[in-house]
Amino acid sequence: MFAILLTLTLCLGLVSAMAEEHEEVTLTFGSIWSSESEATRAPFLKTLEEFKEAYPWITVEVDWNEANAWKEKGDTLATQDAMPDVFYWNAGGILKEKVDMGQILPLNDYIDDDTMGRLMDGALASMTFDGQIYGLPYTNACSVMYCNKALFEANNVAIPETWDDVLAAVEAFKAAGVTPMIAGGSDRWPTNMLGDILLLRFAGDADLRKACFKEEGGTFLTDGMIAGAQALRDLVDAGAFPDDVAALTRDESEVPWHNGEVAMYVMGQWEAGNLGTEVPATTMYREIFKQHHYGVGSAMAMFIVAECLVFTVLLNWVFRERDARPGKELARL
Amino acid sequence: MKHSPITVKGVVKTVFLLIWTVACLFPLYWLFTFSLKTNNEIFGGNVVGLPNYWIWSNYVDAWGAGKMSLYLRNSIITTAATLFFTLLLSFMSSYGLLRMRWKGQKVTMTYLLLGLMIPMHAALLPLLGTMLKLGVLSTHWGLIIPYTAFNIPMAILIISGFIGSIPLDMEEAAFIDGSGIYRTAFTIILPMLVPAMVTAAIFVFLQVWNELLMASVFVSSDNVRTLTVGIQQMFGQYQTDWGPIGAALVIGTLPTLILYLCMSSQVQKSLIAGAVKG
Repeated sequence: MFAILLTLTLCLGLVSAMAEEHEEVTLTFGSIWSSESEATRAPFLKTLEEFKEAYPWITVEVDWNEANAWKEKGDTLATQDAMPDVFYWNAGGILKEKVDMGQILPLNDYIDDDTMGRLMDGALASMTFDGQIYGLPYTNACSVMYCNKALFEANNVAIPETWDDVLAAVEAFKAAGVTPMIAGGSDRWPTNMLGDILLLRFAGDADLRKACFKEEGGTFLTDGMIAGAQALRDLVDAGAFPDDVAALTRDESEVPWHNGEVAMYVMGQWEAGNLGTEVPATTMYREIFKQHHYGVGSAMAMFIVAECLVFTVLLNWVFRERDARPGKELARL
Repeated sequence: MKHSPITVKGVVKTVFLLIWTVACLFPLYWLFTFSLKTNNEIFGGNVVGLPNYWIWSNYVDAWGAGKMSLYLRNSIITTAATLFFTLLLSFMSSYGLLRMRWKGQKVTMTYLLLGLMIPMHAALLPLLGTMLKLGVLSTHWGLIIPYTAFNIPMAILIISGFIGSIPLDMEEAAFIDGSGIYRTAFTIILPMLVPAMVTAAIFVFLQVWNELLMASVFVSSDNVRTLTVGIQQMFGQYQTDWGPIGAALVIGTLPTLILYLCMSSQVQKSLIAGAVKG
């Protein structure tokens, strides 16, 4: 979360450098953490309060949005150069579209070595194009394969450590009449996430990046990519998912998992919060998480994706183009 | 008191009407119980039953943290203002288009009705640019102006159909008695148009109350944000607490239900009147 503060601080740096007398400044912020159920909301609000205390002459006007609605709204606002000063945007390909449109300010001049030293290696990879850094990450979401330890023990199945182990576990649970895996296919991103991870693991980061960003003749038809796609196909052919998996929403897929009816569940690390609070009666989940956390247990190593989803908070190009925006308090910039 | 005999036809009719009643009321029942459940009940084994635990705090969450009180106020302001301007402008336009003779009368009528053919999505980008230049984004006017503009063609269509059915003798008598054009329009013709105005008002109300696209794009401030966007905001990126959303939906649906309960007979009358006279 420090990255949001860092970004706002950078804004401040830009502002205060030009306006040492601390004239009143208003910044607009495009946020997607409107929901009370959003894990990022509370830390964001805390950071915002700290920022306001530290810089009382700066007013931050937050535009709260639902995540998918913000993508459409952001695209629409961008056509009229009406994006907020600082905003959330996904990294990777869709960020590059905005960069190519000239909507995003490169941050290289504003990020010092100290800041760079506080970022994880590779954290900026999905938001750096042609050596220019166009965003700062506030979190690094990871995909985790959670295992219901009780079901594994009851059916005498070993927690998988390799891909072959996963397929063997699927077969064993299928034979025992237990649903091996579940996903919210109708929401698309849960199954896309699983596919992405398999492609990443089978094809490697370099090839996937080339294919995603259409760099250096990158293609999704390499042997590694095809092997990753085949792995997903093998999982489906082995009957890992219920027949209606493509019709389930993520929320629907979560219920049988929380009820202890599903052996394995691929989800982001945020699911851990639910296991600790929303399912208090079954402490087994917490034990599983402790043992197989992506950063702790070996069983999850196969699914650890360092950069699967990197979200960014971006500085809008308007910081540089303030003069062209009458009526804004930052006219000096 | 004479009771009519029970017949097979009567029983079949009653059973059919009972099933029809249940089918019509079920969504309301489902929405209400939905608003009092947890995610596990909503998506799990208790989709249609009464809640195992009645979680009234969902309403507290929706009203407080979900800011439904604020969004409800904004929706009422936006809808009321849109209704006022749409009905006023549409009535005056319709009267001028049908009862006054002037050059370009029919062309203007056709031009105004062409507005019915313009989808809101197609107009979104140029409209955003216009609103931006007018400086009304994130104000109530930023929604009231486009909502009024988009609803005027339909309201003119409805109202002009009714005006056409009013005999000219009414106005001639009024003019002979010394009534001016505005007095005639507002005190003689307007009262006779109540069914048409109500019909138009209901269509406009439903459209504006439920509108999401413009409300989402044109508004970035909580002080102006309407119910539809407010409810949408309660959806999480990965995790969603559905109970408070159900509560917010109940809160958002209540005004529509109350409106219908109060005006259902008027709505039916106006629709029938329109069918006969139009």
